[in-house]
Amino acid sequence: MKNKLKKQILEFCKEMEEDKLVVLGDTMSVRCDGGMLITSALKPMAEICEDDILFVDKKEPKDELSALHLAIYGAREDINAIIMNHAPFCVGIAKGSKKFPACLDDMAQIIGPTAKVSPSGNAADVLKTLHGRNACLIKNGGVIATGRTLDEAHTGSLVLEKGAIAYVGSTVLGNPVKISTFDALLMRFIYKTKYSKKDQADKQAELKA
Amino acid sequence: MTEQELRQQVKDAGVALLKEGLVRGTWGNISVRVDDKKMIVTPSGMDYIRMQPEDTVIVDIETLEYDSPIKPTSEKKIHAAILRDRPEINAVIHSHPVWSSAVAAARKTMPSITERMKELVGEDVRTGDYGLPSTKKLTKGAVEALKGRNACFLANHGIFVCGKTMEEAFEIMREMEYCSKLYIENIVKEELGKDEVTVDDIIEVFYKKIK
Repeated sequence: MKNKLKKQILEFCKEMEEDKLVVLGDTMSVRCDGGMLITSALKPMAEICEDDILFVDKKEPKDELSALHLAIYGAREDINAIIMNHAPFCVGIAKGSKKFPACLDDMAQIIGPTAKVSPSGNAADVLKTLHGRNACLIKNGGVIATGRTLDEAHTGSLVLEKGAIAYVGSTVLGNPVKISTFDALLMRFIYKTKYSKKDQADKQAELKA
Repeated sequence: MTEQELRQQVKDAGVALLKEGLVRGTWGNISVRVDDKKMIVTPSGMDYIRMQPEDTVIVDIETLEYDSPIKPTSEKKIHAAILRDRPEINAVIHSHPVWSSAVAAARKTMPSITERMKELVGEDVRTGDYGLPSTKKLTKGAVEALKGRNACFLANHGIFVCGKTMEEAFEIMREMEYCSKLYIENIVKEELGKDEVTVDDIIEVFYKKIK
């Protein structure tokens, strides 16, 4: 399973770099055997190879960054994968806003009714901001996107950046329309319990096979 | 074209949407008319890479019935309604490309931005009323907004385009995404007096507007 996960991590590292969502220092991890597999922060994602993906025991974080990944896994049983990125429009919003609303259905479904900005990158702040959501931004920093699988964390990264572009773009056009909290919560419930459930279960089963 | 060729055409269009960055994160759906009574649509909840031509589903345009163990897209109602309303149309694509989705979130009518857009789509592109996915309200809004045009936005959701052929529908999708980006960038250019804009410029105008 570790080898399969490493291969999958390499694929998504490449995709994140091609999508232009990451900068040097960004990392990606997957929950695995009492700890996690995590990429090195010292190399651009496009250059990560198998040797740059390390296993970190949940009781022995190597540094502040791996401690943050482990804190998220420790607090959220529903999360099996984390991608930290610097998607440009999310970064722009995180500089001067406390949150931004879902102006698109897919953000409401996959992320939640809003994406909040954590006041700092410390674990307590991040966990509080991430509560009930799959992603959050960090003030003057980047994005933490999570998922049941790496595939979902990757989709979350794309959808959150698209949601940020929709909010920024519609504001520039003079009329950003937010999705109502009721509709957003309803769509998120249906997405989590019905629409994506089988797809995510299939993807998890493929990794275990 | 044979049924098999049409199924392949749907698969190829899906892969091309992905390659050209016209789907991002979530997938959208595609249909092609087989004859007066039937259409072929993409399956529900399956990405265009995993999807094989045989996973596409033949659906009755009038009754929405289908004879397949594979579930068709949940937006089959909109595809069928467009094909019923527009006999000259043979291909419909629904997607959520980044910049088109941003215009859809503003619920605006976008004027023709380029001559090519005017030729392909019409004078302007309207936004259909907001409705939750798969609802009658969403279907009605899309069909109304699409009248006399080959594209419409769906409020807070994405875009529908249609064409006489799949190639034409695809070209319209491509042009709409290009024009949607330009529509937003033109405002930024005007606000900042610049000829070219960067992400930072768009963010600067965003903060000006929310002050």
